[in-house]
Amino acid sequence: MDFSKTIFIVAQSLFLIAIAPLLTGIIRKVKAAFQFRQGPPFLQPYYDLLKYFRKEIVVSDSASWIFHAAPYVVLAACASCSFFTPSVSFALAPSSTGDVILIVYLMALARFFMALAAMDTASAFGGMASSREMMISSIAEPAMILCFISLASSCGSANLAGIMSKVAERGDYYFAAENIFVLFALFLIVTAETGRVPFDNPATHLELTMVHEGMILEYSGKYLAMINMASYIKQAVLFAVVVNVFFPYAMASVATPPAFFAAAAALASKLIIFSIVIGVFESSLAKSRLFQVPDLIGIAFILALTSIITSAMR
Amino acid sequence: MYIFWKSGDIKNVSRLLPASFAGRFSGTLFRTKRKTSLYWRHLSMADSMAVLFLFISLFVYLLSSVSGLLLSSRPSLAVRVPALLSFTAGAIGVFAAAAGMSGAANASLILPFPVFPDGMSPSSLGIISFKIDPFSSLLLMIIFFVSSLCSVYSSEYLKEYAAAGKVAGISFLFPIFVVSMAAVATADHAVSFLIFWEIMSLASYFLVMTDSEVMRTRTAGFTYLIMTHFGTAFLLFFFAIMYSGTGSLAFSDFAAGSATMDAGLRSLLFVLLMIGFGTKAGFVPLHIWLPQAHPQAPSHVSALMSGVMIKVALFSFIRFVFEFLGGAGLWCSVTLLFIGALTAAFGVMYASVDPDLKRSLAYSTVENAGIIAIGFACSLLLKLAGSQPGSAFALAATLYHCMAHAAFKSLLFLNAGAVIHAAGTRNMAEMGGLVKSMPRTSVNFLAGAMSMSALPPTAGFISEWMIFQSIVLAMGAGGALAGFAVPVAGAALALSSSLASFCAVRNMFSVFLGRCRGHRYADGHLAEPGPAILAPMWALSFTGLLLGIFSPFFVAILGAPVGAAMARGGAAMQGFADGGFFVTPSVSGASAIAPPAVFLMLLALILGLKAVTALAGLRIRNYETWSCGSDLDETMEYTPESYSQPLTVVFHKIYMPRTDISTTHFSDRLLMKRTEFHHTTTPIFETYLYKPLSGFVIWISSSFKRFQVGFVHVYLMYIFVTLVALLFAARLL
Repeated sequence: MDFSKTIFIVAQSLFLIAIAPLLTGIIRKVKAAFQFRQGPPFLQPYYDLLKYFRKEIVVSDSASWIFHAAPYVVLAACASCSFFTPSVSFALAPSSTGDVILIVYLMALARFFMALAAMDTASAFGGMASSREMMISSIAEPAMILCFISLASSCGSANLAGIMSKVAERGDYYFAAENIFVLFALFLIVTAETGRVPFDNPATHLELTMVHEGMILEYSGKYLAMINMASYIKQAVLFAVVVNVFFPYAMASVATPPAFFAAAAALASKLIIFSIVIGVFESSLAKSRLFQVPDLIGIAFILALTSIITSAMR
Repeated sequence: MYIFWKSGDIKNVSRLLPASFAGRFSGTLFRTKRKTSLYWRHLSMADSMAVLFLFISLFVYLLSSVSGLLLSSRPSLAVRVPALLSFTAGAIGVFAAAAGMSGAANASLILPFPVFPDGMSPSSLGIISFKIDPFSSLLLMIIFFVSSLCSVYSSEYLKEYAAAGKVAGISFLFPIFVVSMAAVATADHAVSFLIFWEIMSLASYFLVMTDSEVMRTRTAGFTYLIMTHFGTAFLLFFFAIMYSGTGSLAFSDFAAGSATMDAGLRSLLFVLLMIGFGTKAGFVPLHIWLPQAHPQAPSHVSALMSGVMIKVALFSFIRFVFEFLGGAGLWCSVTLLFIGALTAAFGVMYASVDPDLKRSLAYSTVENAGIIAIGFACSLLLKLAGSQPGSAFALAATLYHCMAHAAFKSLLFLNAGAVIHAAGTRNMAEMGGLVKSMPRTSVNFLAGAMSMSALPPTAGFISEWMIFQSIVLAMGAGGALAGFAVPVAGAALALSSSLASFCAVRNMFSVFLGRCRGHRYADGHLAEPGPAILAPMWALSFTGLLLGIFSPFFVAILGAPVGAAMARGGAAMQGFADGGFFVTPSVSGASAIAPPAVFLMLLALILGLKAVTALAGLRIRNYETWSCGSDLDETMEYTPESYSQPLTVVFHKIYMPRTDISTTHFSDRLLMKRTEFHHTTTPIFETYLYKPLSGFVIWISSSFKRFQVGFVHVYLMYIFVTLVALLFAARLL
């Protein structure tokens, strides 16, 4: 790998990490607008992270070394995901070091440690949230992998860069029904994985409705800052994947600073538009009951399966 | 003992053995003739080392077994000496396997003695006929590596069996079990295969029946005995058909003979093999013995059974299909794919709801057998489609998953043994909080749990990644049937891996985290186990980690075994991934992964974050967990059953959960005296398949009771009637 390409890839992942909290701020602002509120500033998530970083950490008596180790592993795993995502460019992506399966399993690593740490404090909130999160993800993950298998088979390549370049080449990729199905399925799955309404309410503080918030209930201070940053990065990575697979245009193909800044601006605008779409989607739905969530994920699963069968029949 | 070399090497042989010995047997070298010249193969240095070390290793195992019997009167020696001998034998066996993997394709060894009067010997009868090649050496490596670590473990673990006087039996049978597995791995003749297969089954049966005073053990052993003989019957059927087709029982003659058989017969043979080996490996619906028998055995034997015996069955399956049948047809491969998908899904679903730690691990073994079957089916499909590099990669993925599973499942079972000894119970709903008193054990359990959940950077992730790539490759392998079946199998694989991570989290937190869920721990063994127990666990954890991080190197090493397996199928080995820094199928458009880079990135990020937080100052204060203002109680925690309750609701069609609540009141019927709550899941296969079947068999048997009247006159009349009927039949025919 030559030097400029390495710098480019590192810069691309740092950009994605830097812009991640802003997406959450935009979603919150859109939801506030729907509720006729002013809402918090766009940069509020950054201010919150700084605030948590400065506060002290309170650790439960029942906690063990896993509680202390989990925030580091979670943030490291999610930050590594951003390295393997072709966010600014697919031509220069590190496609030989990792692919989408690696991204999915790095997120699974983060979730594993979160679920363990939630149980570490011997509290009921952690248990409830951890159990629900693992149950939801155990059905969402096969659906996500089925979506990517469908994309891989129709694009003839298993890594994200190959998929994006194929979609960019064909131009009319999404005029076929089976590809629209995959897109809807992927949209639903990404909503589930990032813990958005209707799967989970990120703004709730009622234990009966918490999934992700319940797992991090006992965390405070720097640990909470790391875990929140990790969930922002995970959200940004998933948004970037969906946006770039659907709309792989205006991406850089050479490793020069002007191309990087232009493509980064394009990525930022794509992500902002997608965040607004997610905000609108969240505001138009209520959070569904826990046992309606598998039905929603089942819809995504069936859509992906239909797409595969249709392309296999072709 | 004599190893055949070409006649020119007789001098080397006589240097090894005493002169009189060599002189006595050199006559046989020139006198006895062999049917084919296959056995007169010039062994290279690596092969001869492999053969020699293998013999020494097997001999030391037999010594260990005998010493276990002889020393039964001295308990402290009876535990240590056989364990030490087994460990030495295992270490030598590992060297033998390593030499065998780097050796050439074939190294046969024949034991010509004793010679019977009419010139036959056990070797020409096929009783002792073995062949070492890289593929069987890989299996030998797994067998000996895991066995040596289990022997070290047993040197301290068996102390709790010493009081019951069971150490002699276990120490006698354990080496025999290992030797029989090694013999099955290298068998080259149907008779030797079946003899040692049966010895393996019987040795493991007696080991399972160690605690035979417990009713559950007896049921488990009984079920195991029936199921394993059911499978062996299908293998016998297979060998019978091959004999009638080729006229010989030697494996070297099978390959040529089967090429002349038609496709229908070969499909039948494939199905026979799938049922025969599938019973031993744990394919659904023939898996019911596995969750009963594996937990009842002592933990190091469970580790060996789950980690290694399954692999022996699967490796033999792979070898027989490639060597004798040259691959499988489309419908056979798709059937194997579906059975693998079902096995993976059902196995992990039952693992996720079982409150017994060892039974949960046994169900997880069923799941992994299904995953291995999926990988193997992808390899067969790719071979059918003519994609040689893809098929080799899928086979390498399957073998890598075998290695990874052997490492982490044996680690988890050894860990379970230590934890169960400390907690005094096998029920996870009564454990908890052990991380404070057994931190090192918890680290090892975490390593095993991470590998079970296929998380980077462990070996479980790499093998799962490789199998996913094989699925993507096999999807494009043509045919509408494959195009539909393979993605469904991929979805089942993804479901099984995410549920496996559910199960791993559930097992880990039930045992280690939180507070103790039973109100007290029995027997007060709450201490970190000794080095003899911890050292094998560390070794297996590091093996799992190394297999994950340095996987390009290990996948390249798999080139020789994969080539040996596929070459027997008549195809040359080509285009195998050549290691370096990446793991990738060498097919255009395929993705690649650089595991060392991923691990270094994770490590660098974690260390960097630690540095940042340390620089910024980490102020930590301890306080009690928030419990809404009341005192924190153990009953507030989640138990393993409550953790898996959402899963039973989501998959209620499969689990069919039942809740029974019974309340006893006081005489005034206003106050409750006692309430009992039972939440169970219905085991589908036992209830809807095996119970009706066994009921039918019992019904038939009891209907025959009507003939057993009890009067001798009636029986005499039966004999008379049968005789008359036979005479008529003989006359008519």
